[in-house]
Amino acid sequence: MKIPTLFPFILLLLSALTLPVSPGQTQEVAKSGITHAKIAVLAFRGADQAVNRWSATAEYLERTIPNHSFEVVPLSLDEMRNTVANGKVDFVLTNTGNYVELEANFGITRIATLRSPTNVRAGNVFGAVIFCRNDRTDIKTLEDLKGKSFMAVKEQGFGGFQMAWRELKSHGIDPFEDFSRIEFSGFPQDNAAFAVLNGEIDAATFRTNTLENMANEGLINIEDFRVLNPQKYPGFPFTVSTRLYPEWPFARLKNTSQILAQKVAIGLLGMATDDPAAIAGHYGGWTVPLDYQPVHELFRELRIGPYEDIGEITFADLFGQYGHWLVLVVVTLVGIVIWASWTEVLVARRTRELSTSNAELERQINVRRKAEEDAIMRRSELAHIHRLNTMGEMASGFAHELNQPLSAIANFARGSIRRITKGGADSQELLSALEQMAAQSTRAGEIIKRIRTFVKKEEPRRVRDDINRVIRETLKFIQSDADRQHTSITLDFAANLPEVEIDVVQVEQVILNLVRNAIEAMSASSNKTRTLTIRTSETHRGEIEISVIDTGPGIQAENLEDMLDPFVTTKENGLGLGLSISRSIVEFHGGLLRAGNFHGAGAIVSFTLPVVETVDMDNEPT
Amino acid sequence: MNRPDPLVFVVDDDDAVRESISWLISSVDLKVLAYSSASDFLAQCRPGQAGCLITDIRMPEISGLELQDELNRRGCDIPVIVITGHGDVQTAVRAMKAGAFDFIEKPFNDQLLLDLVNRAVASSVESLREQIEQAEVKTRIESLTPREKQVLDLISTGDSNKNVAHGLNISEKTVEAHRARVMSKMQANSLAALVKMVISLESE
Repeated sequence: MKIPTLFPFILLLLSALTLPVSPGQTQEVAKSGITHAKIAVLAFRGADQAVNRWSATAEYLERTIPNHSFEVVPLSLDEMRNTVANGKVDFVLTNTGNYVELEANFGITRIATLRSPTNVRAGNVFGAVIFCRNDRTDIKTLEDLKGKSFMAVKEQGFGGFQMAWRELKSHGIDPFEDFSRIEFSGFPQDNAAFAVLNGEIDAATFRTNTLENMANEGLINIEDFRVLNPQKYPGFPFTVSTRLYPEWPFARLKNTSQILAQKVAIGLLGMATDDPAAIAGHYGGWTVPLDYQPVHELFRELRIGPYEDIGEITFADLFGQYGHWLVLVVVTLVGIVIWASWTEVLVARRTRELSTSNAELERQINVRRKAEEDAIMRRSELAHIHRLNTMGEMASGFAHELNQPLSAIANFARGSIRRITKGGADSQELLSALEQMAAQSTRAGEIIKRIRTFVKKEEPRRVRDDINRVIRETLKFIQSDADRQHTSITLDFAANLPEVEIDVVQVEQVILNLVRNAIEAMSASSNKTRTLTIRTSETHRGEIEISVIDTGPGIQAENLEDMLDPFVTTKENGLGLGLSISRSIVEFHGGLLRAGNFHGAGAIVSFTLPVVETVDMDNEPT
Repeated sequence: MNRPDPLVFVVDDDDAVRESISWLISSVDLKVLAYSSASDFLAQCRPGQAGCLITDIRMPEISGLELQDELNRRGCDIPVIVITGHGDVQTAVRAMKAGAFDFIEKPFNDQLLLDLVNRAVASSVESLREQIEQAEVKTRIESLTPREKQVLDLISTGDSNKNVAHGLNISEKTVEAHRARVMSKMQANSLAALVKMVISLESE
């Protein structure tokens, strides 16, 4: 029985591949308080060029991360492999293809993806073009290239060959078998375009945007070329023949300190697109790490790089080679065993896939979690500043509110003093006045406490609460303002709403902001009826919707679109942050904030909050 | 004359403030009636009631200023003391222009408020007394015959009996008889008192 005996072997091989080689110790050495870190960079055009290109990035990191020094270590493809295998560097900056190989073999993890220069809209993905001369009527499709001569940049080049290889292969062309000859131009890749133009070669491939760049520089006339297998991708501005792949990643080694990696990631993501480091490196800053799975797929399909060995013994290959008699034997003799074995191999394959994607997922989660935590911190700081600003604007309202209990206390006290001085004061009456005074001092204290809670800087904290209660509490802030503006507030609350899980202070901030906006909008209008309605309801999607409806002039059509963006304001003294902060708070809670006009009279601003699932705590899975 | 005691009305939507003002005012033996809204107060307000009204300028529904307008419209000339928040000078000025008796900033000195209340009540009592007197003078004038009215008009401008007799083409003796009846009907014991009555009506 040939197949079943092969399975354990395949499994062994697969599991060996998924075990990363231990990369040894990182180079973080504490020397006089300075941590030294090494960045291996791929020097595909020589060490000098690589150092020139990336030193500014290392210097940028030194500026951004105090007490750290970064050294650029230029390496060739082969050196890269050994260096990473031995863990002699902390970070790796290499091309997409090389990265995936190092990731699969040595467990390196990308922490950021390069962004193309700002003047290039393509952003952070690229592909390759396969092209011939425009007057070649004999070449229309990739299939027509069979028997023709072909030029690529470099056999190991990702954009310079492997991307095209994948497309050729899927069109039934083996570049090493089916071309009359294959040549590699090396750098500069421009050579391939000239070779096609001169008729030295029938067709060629290189990275996207190379043809366009050459045409812009006046080196070629783009109409002289025809791109084969042209593809269209939304937002991708260049001619392209292949699938798109992510740009160069910045990766950390397996043993690089998590804290250092985080600092570097934050530093890179914070780099401005026009930072001198980005300009020196011919790129446009860094973005969150992209998904490199398409690159893995390419390698798997081509059976190169990390998947080179698998190619020899995949089940499909075996089946293709021996299928005819295997099927015969299997069908006639032990169908049931085959079925069992199939299951076994499927489970094994699935397990392997799962464990790879698990590790991948974990890495992604870590990076994302960090980014999310940062975003939460930034949002909550901004929200805090905005709350302080709001309280400042509302100071006179609070002064009035505090004046009420203070006046009452003074009046009760004076009235009591007069009664006692006159003699014959009724002690029961006096007692009741004293009780009132005590109650009023509590009232004043509560007002101060409410303001303090609102302006206190706190870690975001979610609790379950009743949204109607939260709205009522919030209105205590604004009631005196509303009174002063002769605005009546109508509460149209749905009864028995399920609870929401919210950061109460932040949601109060949203409500306060919307209500203040509405009052302000109405005070500016000549409309006599100033009514503000706050409505709560449960949507059929299991969300709670809170709407603030006013009878003001409504929202101008031209403002509807960008009014939720930061720094967009129609107010003379406004910062334009209120609505944008409100929106980010709402979205942070998993809801949506929308604004519009209400039946042509006044504005309506609504937001949703997801309802807390009613879970029996005892049965909750742990 | 049997007139009711002056009353101090307090209108404020804030329970504590309203009750505390009532407590303070009643400590100086003034009668206080308190209402939590302007409409409650208006529902029972009658012209001719002596006293004063204390109200907060900021109230929902009907504000202190609007309440004052409504009182003017109804012919209730009860003096209004408007309580304003600190710094509400502009609204206070508007209140004064609309005819408020005075305004007081919160939180206030109790003596200041009580003085203000006393002055307002006194002014209200005085103006009511004048109103009643004017009404009485009117009734007396209406009891005069046309000829007596003519005589009254002429003597109140300072004409002598002789001139009046000449002007009305009657004898001086007849003028004297009319004059005595006018003095008696108008309950005036001197020419000066009579002139004062006529002037008080003209100034109305």
